[in-house]
Amino acid sequence: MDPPVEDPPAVEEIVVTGTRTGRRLGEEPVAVEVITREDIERSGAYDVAELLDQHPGVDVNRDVLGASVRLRGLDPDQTLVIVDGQRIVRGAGGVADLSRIPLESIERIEIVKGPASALYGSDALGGVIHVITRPASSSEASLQARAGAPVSGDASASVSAAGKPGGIRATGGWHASPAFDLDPSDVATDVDRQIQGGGTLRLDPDLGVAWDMPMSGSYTRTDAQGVDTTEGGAVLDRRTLTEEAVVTVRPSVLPDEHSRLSFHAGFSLLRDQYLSDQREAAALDVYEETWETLGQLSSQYDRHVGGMLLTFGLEGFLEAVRSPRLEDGAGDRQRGAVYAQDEWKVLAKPRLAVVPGVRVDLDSQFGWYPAPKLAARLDPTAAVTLRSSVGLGWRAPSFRELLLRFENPTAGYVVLGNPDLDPERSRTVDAAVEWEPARALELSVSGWWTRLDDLIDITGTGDLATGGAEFVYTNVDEARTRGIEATVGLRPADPVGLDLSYTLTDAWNLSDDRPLSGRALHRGTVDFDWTVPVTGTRAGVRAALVGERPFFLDEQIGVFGAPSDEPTIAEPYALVDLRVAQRIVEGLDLFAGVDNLFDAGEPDLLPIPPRLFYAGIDAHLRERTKEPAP
Amino acid sequence: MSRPLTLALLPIVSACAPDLSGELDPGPPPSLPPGGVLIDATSETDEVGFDLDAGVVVDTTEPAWDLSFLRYNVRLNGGVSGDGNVEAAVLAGVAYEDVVEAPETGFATDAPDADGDGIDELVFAGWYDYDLVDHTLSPADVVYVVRSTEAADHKLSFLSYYDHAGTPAMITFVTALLEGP
Repeated sequence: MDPPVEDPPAVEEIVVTGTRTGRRLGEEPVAVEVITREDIERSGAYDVAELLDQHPGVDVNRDVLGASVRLRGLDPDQTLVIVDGQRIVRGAGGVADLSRIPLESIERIEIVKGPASALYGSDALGGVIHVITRPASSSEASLQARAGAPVSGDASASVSAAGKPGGIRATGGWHASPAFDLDPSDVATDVDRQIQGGGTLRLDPDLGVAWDMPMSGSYTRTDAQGVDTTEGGAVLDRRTLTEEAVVTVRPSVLPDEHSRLSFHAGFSLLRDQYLSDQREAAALDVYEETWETLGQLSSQYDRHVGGMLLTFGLEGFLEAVRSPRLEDGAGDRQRGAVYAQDEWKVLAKPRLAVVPGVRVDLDSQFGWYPAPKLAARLDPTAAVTLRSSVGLGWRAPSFRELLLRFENPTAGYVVLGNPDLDPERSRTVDAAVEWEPARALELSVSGWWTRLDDLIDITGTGDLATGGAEFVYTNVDEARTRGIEATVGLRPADPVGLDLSYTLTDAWNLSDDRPLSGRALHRGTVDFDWTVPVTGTRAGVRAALVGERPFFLDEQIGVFGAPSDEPTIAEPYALVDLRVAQRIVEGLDLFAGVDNLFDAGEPDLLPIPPRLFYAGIDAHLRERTKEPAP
Repeated sequence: MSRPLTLALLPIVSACAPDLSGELDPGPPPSLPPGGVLIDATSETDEVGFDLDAGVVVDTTEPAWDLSFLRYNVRLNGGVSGDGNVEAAVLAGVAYEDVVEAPETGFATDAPDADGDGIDELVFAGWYDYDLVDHTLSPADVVYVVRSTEAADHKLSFLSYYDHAGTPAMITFVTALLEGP
């Protein structure tokens, strides 16, 4: 008889990202790393970027376009970021800005490293960051507020009620941080002043055992302000006002005990206003308004057949953008996809699972693109897990790369999009060993090798009549990344936890025969947590230790020219956060901490907020539930 | 699907945030240096002419123009660039104040490309120095003597490629009529 499709019990942690099917954490055939709500609350992080920056193997990249992530040394636009299955709209800059995702709305973050285009399609070369928002499955209220020095503040609240008709949750938040000038010799700021506010409403109607239909709507507004200077001495007051509204409906049904049918309908609307106001003149004034919409529809059918869980899916995207930076002021694209996967439990003892999968996308810009993947998991003993996978990844050219027309009269150049671009492609092989010799100790070592082809870069095409230069996006570059990641998890006693990681990332630009810009060869993380149950005290240290990073200035935003032979080396740095929380009464905690203890950061190559002291209050009110019968 | 949903979400988005387009501050008008001339050469496509004899900006479709400006490109109304027979001499290493009369020799006009780089040989090609690190233009240490459409000699020295607010292609220079020999 076929085993039933797993209906995830609420008490166990279920991950969905690795195979797009619900799996209990620890049993998933494709490795998934999870940052839980508890991890978020004890981290003291002020946004998703800071939270991820101290996660093993995750490298946060910050520039004027926002905060984005690199996985396995690949570019930020080669990692897919989704929220409840809905892709993040990348906006005018083409970057999935993590700072637009409010922390208070997040239940957990799942991270899958390695190519996932066989399930998710475009952008999933380095992996997938899947943000899952808080459900409305319980009755509770929470409030958090904190103030920091230099002057900054956060306040967020979440209220949910669950009953017979279903659950409802409302979440809202407000965050403010000042601008920072890491180079006092000029008037330019290096970190923007930012005010963010927004809210989410989520409904989980109770439709019976077989049905599930979470619905959510959110609105986020991010107001970033900073001061720029030009080489000629102009001072520009810059303001970027970004609004994003997202609605999703995700019904699923269990037609019988062996299968599940699920749907996703989502729509995202992004409005981005960019204002650059020249002081004492108007010649360099710029106002640009960008609108971008993304409609996403998908359906998926999972069915157990013998020892296999078969998955079939259909997915479609409608994207449109209107921006003065595009050649015709607007662009649109449509993409449809079909995918299939087989989670095949080949052997029960020793446990062996094989997961072949393939996805084919049809894009209105460049036609067909297939992406297969084969993953396997072997548990030779109860304490050891071996994983390996081989797969292809790809990234569709962005609107910016296809249709841009950007003129920089100050520097005298023009950058043009190229409608004939092909997708960027990757081939990856990886393997991992996980060993749990004792309940208190977990060890893992993984390695990967990725070859990248048809990478899109800007190349010069000649001189303009005015003497400036013209550049165009082309599929020219090749690259390779490979590396090793090792982690140690130590739980010597219940109140003490220590997680350590080290990542070696060798990222090489094969076209220019030099390292890829901005990647550190060595990177480590430390996460220490200590709880004293008697006093209700909890203390933690989180740190990211990053080695030297080579930067090639011709690869930086706004700088074009021939490849530079000598890199600019960014010094190693340590990003260390400390935090202490004290329980006053049940449901009420006070906390204090310091972010960026050693004041890391510099204007050009590490523009992050300087040391920040903060203190705040955290209040929770939960409905008392009956203890389950023994 | 997109359009109805866009229209549905539009009021949410546009009602929540102010429209920033009205917040641009034009600032005060550009200031001129004493005795100087300011040329707005910020257009990427339209040349701006200047009549040295009258001391005014003119259209390059009129015959009176002596110099034309397009971003950092400066042409003479002579040779390959025009029919006004304007020519100029380049005096290196001398101070503007010390030039009191036109040189007897050294006058040239814009000529067609001679070195095969596809760019005309312009008399004013070297008026600026380019900083490869900062990507900025600064005036070269030269003084020009321009023989105008009315055969009058004017000395000319560039002050800056940027105005007081740092705007590129807002070119300033000083010029004065030289007495004939």
